Amino acid sequence: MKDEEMIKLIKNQDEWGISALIQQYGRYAAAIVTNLGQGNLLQEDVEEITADVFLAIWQHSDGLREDIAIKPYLAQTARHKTISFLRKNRLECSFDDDIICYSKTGLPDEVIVKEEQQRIINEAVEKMEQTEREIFVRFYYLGERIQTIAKILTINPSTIKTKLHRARKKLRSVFEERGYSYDEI
Amino acid sequence: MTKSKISQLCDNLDSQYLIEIEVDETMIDQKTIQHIEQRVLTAIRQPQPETINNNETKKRSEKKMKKKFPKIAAAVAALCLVSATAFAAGGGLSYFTAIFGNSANLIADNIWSPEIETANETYTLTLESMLSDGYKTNMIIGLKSQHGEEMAYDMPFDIDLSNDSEAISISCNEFPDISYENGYLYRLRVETANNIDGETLTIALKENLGDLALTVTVDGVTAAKEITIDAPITDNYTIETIQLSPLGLLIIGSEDELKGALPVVNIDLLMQDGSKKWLLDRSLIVDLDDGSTVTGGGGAIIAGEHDVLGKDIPLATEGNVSRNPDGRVVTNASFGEILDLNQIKAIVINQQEYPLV
Repeated sequence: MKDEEMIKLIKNQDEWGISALIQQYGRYAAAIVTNLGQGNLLQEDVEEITADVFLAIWQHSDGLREDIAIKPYLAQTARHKTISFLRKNRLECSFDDDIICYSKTGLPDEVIVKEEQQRIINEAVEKMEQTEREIFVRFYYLGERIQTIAKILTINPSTIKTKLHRARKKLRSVFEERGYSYDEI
Repeated sequence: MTKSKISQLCDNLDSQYLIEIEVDETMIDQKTIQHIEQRVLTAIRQPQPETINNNETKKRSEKKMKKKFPKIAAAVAALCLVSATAFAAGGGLSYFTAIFGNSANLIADNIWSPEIETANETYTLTLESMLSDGYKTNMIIGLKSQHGEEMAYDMPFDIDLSNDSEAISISCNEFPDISYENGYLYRLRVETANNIDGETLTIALKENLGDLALTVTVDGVTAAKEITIDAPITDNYTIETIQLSPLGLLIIGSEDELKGALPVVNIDLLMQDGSKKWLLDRSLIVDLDDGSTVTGGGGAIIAGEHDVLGKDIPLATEGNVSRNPDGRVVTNASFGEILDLNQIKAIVINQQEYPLV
């Protein structure tokens, strides 16, 4: 079934729609949850979180649009739900330990800072070359480990590390272009 | 100075960067997907207790459950309305007559009514009746509350099979037109890819309902026949075997490449008297003709889309098709009426007859 047909059924609160969506994308969402859990989640947790993802889609179906792919939305929701679950249950939520420090004078408003961060991260990702960008997104957004990424993309793990290093440099350069002072810890 | 992890900054990443990324899904099995689907369907059918009184809860619950019945099965049930008194007198056969119509008489000897019962302080759980072909096991289960506790659960049970057998599909519907004093009657159907004849099956109440379970050995299964096809049906799809029973069919096939829409073909039955019966229809598979590509997993649902009052209704009215990453395609379907295997001469696929011996 096509995405738009599933979305249409879900918007009409027809159970066939959500069942079809789970059959089509359940593995995708559960795999993201598993990766982000970094071994801290039980099988039951993965099922609970993934079910929450689809439940959220059902409950907020008014906001769905037939002309927009649902897969990225599923990934975003899976990520958000997994991180919330890990925090709520005081489980370790550290699929990366790359802490950066940045500051800029004259930006006291938290909302403005958030908006600025959003622009910076997207600008930095846009500047990355295609493979570098995919590795960056897989590692920092989808929580995939270097070995897993290397296997999927059939690239040597050391090359993955190099490309992640380059990606971080691009991130740094965008921060600095925007007038931030930037440090990696 | 703001301290942040790069992964936290990525919370704001634009979704366009996720579209093309394929995730390794091989660690997620079909059982997990079934559990997720059950959780979601149970949750969305669960009325909000603070806004709905008990009567409304039951009405809404029934309305949703009927929706889950495929159109054809619902029509069969509607044509066979029998009073609650008749059910009490008729025992197991009456339950299955409500599901399969008068064709249930064909397998009357295989219907088992063990009436196994177990209870705790809150609930009484009874296995009223059972019918299985080894692959499709239908159970009629009664659940009574001792003190009038709320039971607005569409699927209040967990199922466990012995010998590492795995259910490929579990469905549970309340019998909507049968009264059951202080409780509900459910039709619970467990479908497996292997024969569970002689194996034990445990039905337990969901954990949140309390600790209550009963175990039964699957016994007295209906006769079934397996036909070896081992023939390419399309350029990419080979049917290996078809297992046919009075209750349904199970097709094991394989694909050379995991590509395109899930492979399903039209199948007819050639009867001993020369007439033909419509067994499985491609158009009953939800949207297989959309040209979408499903790789490395995925499945589709067989659902009745035809006019149920029309003359031609295929026997297979509900089920599912699943594609496994290893190239195995399993088509599992249940019939809306009981099939008399003695009346079948051959299975017909693409004009080719495969004798049923």
